[in-house]
Amino acid sequence: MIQAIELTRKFHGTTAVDRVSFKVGAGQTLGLIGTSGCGKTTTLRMLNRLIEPTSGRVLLGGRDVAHQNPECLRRAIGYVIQSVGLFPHYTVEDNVAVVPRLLRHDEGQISRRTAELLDLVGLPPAAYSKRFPHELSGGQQQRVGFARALAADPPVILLDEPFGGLDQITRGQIQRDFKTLQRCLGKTVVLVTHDVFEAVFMCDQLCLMDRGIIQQSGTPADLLFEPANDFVRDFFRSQQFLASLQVVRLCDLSPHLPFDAPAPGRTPLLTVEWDISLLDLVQQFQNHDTASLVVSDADGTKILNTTIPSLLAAFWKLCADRRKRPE
Amino acid sequence: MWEHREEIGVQTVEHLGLTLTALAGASLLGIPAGLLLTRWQRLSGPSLAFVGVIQTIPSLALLGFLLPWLGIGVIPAIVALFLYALLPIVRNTYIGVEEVDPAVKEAARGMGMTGFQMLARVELPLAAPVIFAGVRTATVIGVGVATLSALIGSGGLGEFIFRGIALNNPHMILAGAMPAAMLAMGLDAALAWIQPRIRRLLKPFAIVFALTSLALMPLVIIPAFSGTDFLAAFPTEFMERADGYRAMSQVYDLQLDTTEMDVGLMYQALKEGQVDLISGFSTDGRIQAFDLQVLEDDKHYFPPYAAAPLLNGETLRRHPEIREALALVSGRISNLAMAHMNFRVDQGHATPHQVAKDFLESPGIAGLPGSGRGPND
Ligand SMILES: Nc1ncnc2c1ncn2[C@@H]1O[C@H](COP(=O)(O)OP(=O)(O)OP(=O)(O)O)[C@@H](O)[C@H]1O
Ligand SMILES: [Mg+2]
Repeated sequence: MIQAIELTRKFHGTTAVDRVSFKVGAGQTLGLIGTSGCGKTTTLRMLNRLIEPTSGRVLLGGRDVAHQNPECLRRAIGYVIQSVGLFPHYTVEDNVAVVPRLLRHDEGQISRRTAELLDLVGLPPAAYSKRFPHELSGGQQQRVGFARALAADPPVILLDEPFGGLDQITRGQIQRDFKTLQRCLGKTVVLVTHDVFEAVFMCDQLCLMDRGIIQQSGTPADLLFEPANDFVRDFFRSQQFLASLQVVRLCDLSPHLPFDAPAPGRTPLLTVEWDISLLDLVQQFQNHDTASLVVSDADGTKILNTTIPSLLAAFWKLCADRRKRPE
Repeated sequence: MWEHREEIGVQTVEHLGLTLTALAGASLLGIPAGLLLTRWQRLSGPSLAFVGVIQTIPSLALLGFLLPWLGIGVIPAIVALFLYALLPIVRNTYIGVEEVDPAVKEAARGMGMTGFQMLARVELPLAAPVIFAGVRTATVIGVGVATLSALIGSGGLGEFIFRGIALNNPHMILAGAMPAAMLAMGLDAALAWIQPRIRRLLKPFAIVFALTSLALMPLVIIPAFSGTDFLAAFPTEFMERADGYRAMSQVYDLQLDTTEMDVGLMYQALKEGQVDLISGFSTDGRIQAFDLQVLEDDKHYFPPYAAAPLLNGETLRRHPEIREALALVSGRISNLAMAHMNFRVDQGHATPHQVAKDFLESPGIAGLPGSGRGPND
């Protein structure tokens, strides 16, 4: 869907982005991560031509964006910035309607769409559509920002640290909501963040950058378990454990776990998706306030009778296996 | 004051007309200029400095400066008011647009707005209160400066004020000053009320503003072009005092078109041909400098206005020698000699001290007892 080829951008002689290449498939989420000033925002802004690359190309659906009218291009790409940037003189409703109005959609259609989107991001239009941005909390503003980016139903959405400046709980809530939303709308997303956990939670693919150069790209598990160099290893170190729990899925552990055959009459305590992350599974243990849990996957074909220690043992084993694997 | 109510009404309308016409012009030019500066950042420093410098020129100096090009009357007054209104309007437009939250501009661009759409939908509406504050400042300044334009015969409430000052008549000063102050405060209060509501009230405000200025403009401007063949300019005092213009017109049976003008600007206006007759001092150096002609007072209407030194009695008691020194030159300076000496000083070629010294050492005076000493400044 989106492809960056050898993107380079220089500012007054210093190279902010150096030959960055990546590919994002339709419906996929790519994370651009790295420390502050490594060129994430610059890379993102070259995708919708807010910054022109010094050299290199961007293909969107196979077409070079350099040959497209920049305004038309941007209207076809959702864009959410860290500071939200809602128009303070527009109501919530008018903010969401900006791009559809630029595209001269029919007004009736616009108001239906707006109401629908506000519902989708958890802001009932009856209560929120006539409010002004300053009458919303930070998290609510961010939700409006998402609704605005989605309004014209763009296939591609660019997000620049969209969850910054929120408290832990609200952030977790919005991250989950957005992930669900993205999955069911099938959007292609490029997400800029410097939060390790957010990156592994939200993204299918990651590009870790340092001083304008991609240090490693791959799935979150690739970067966590098979770091290409010390920079990558150090980048994840502080959050290694939590991120790994998020990355590893129940299905990844299956070779290391004892499974029972489904016994008639024994109802499982909990039914989960087969690809639930280990972190969520541990969370479920806590929610049920129990040391051991009977877990069944959705179609009840396999039944797992397990405890947290045995899950963790399997997890350590898997981690050790992956690290040992030759690169 | 009550007996002047009709005149006050007329002058208030004139005053408002001058101010609003200039303000309309300054807004029409200043707002686009301010917007252009936000697009051409390189020009913004010098341009803002330039309009800032205009603001620092004293009003009377600016009127004098415009005289050679625009003459006297309503047009130069409006141009001066226009120039003063430019700074607050241009600067506030520039600052207002510059200070729009960069995140909002970034979002607008990222959404796919064109430059013009950003301006019309985001930057201008968000800058509107700041721009409007500039217009408000310009209005209050304008009402104040417009009183001064009475000095070049453009009417307005300044006429009463200067006539009052000339005649030392506080009631007359108040008759001009109070409506002017009320006008300034009233407009300021009205605009202050609109300012926070400007986004909603922009259209009605623009319509009212445009209609009022359009209605008042002809009232002020048309008389300016109904020029006369022969125009006389007199200072306010001469127009009003008993032994001034009124009595003179009877003695000489004159029916002149007159305009009131500041003494300081009269000579230049005559030189530039803006007026044809003024009441000057026959000893003024500019008569010679500008090659003006003094008319003969063959009916002896004007008593000789000889200069008389006035001294504080206490000073004289302490320095009795001053009396002797002054007695030496008393009655010895002819009008022509005085005019010549004034000319030397006015043209900036010599200091008063030098001119006085030269006079005292000139053949007719030198040799008199005590004349070697010269004045002590
Ligand atoms: N307009 C510009 N002019 C000059 N230098 C710039 C410009 N924009 C960015 N840079 C430089 O390019 C480098 C990369 O900036 P960028 O904004 O892409 O960083 P980032 O990875 O998004 O950082 P952060 O996480 O702090 O947002 C920085 O060193 C920055 O100083
Ligand atoms: Mg950034």
